Amino acid sequence: MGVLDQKQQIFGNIAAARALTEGLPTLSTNSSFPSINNGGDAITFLTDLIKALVGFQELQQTIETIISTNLAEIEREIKIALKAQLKSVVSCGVNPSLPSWIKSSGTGIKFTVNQIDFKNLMFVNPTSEAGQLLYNNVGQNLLNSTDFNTFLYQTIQNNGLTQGWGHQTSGSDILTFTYVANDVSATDPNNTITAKASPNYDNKTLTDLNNDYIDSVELLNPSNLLTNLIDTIFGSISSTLNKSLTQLGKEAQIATVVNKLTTTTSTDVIDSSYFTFTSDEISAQQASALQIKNGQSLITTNAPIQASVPFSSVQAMNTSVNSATNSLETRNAVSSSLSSIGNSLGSLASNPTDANNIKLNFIQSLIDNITKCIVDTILSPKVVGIFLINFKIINGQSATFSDAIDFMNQNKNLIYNVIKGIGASIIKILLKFALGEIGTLVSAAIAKKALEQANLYVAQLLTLVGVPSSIINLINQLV
Amino acid sequence: MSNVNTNKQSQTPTNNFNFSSIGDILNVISASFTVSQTPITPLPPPLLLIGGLLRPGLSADEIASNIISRQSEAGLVVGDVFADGKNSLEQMELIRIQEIINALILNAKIEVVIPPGVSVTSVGIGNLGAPVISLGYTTTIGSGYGVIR
Repeated sequence: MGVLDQKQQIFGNIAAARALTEGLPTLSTNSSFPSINNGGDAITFLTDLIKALVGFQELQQTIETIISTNLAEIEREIKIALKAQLKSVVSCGVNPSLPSWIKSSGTGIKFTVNQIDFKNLMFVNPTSEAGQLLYNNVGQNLLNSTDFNTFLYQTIQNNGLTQGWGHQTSGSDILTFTYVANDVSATDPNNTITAKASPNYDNKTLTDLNNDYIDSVELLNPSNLLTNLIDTIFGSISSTLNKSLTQLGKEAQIATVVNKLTTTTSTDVIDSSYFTFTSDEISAQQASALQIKNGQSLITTNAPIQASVPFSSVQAMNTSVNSATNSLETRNAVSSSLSSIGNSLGSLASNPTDANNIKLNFIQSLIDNITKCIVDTILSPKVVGIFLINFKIINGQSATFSDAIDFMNQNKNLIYNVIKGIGASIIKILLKFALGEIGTLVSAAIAKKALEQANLYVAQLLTLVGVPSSIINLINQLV
Repeated sequence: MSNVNTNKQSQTPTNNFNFSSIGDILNVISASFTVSQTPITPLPPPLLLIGGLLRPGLSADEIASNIISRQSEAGLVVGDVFADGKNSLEQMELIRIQEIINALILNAKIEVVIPPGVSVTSVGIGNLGAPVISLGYTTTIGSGYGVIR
């Protein structure tokens, strides 16, 4: 049976079970379910299925589960993929031990800030209002932050001083970084960072350094992920930061690549075509960039609505989620924040049906963008930095990634595995939820059928002793 | 640098559940709708023997009228009041039921199978002319025919 036929049969089974339990069928499998096609996008299909089974409120619960409960598991999967990719990079080299020039006494590896900061994060002060939404662990001394990006920002502020990374999260330093804004000898370009191994690692292998570094950085944080999700959809932070259309266009390119890789099947060959764009894709990226720059998102109802989420709402959400001390509190904070934003968006509609559709679209957008937002973490300096160091060790000091898309292309195995890993985690949650709801529906249908059979049995017995069918119909209506 | 073409086929075991495969996911969901069928309880044969005689038989008009009287439950207009002329839906309903019932009454055949092992009590005459009662059970499958009324 084809994919489309099988999808339609599943929706037909739901309609049949619904008809059995609720009377007349209420489910329509029309074009409002975008997944009813031959496509292989399992996440969209499962979200459609959950919408058909229970509605959008329950769909929101899956987002809450992912953010409050499953991020640690996803982070572990990503770190395994990162280590494997770095190991494959190192295995391309002749000697797995640290080259003398990256050891603490060597000249170090040099790169400019923009070579590892594709989203211009380092232009934003962590202590600013927007910065507090983009960085983690912003305390009194930013150099002691457990968030590498926060640490790196402060390192860049301390021109010419060498700072160690590692002791903040794992007890001892792994790498040291020195930022020089303007090299007086004119040997290096402006804004150059020099990375060296900490003396602790002079006698260790490059793989040891890589693995320990990956373990030392925190990749996923509930409040940051949620903030990034809202910014990706509505541009609440990007518009406040007044990002350029060029920058936002580059960020839209990342979303295109993630979307293309998400819908690949196991038989597809991931080649460079996934990292180049058609004219249609470029037009869509430009339109998306413009919407984000304006801090808006177009919602299609009976009449299109330009929706936005104010910066203050994102701040309130971030504060609420950040103040949670356990996963239950995180879940409650995420739930109330999403409900609050959903209700606010729903109030833009002119009728209750549109209001519900807007809320549903909002939750659908969160699910559609969560993979891209997690991939964004990999494209931040904390991950790109260590990859660039390895890239230069293998290919020489002049080797570099030209931009985020080049980085993704050069590490397509990593990006593919991460996207599929994140997808699998989300699918697991959605599938578990869908199967639970199907189980409830099928159980109810079985119970209803058993009751119907029992009633018919009694009715048949009654007709056999001469009770008229009209009386039996009356009795059946009373049961 | 590992930037070779990434043929994922070799990385996907075919004997395990693959969360990336829409086919695997559809198969799991389809299977969740599959439930074992439980057989219905047979009617008591003595009651069937007696009560069968009391059955009034099928009536296409009666079935159609029952359906039409419940049309409003499905949100359909009942009667001719709001229809432009005769309510063609109701007329079609009557035709549909008449044809179904006619087919059942005129063409359907019921085949009955009697399993072996049915208890049998029989009375006969012995050598001395005295009645002899024997108890036993059928050893072969019996069959019979019937029509729907």
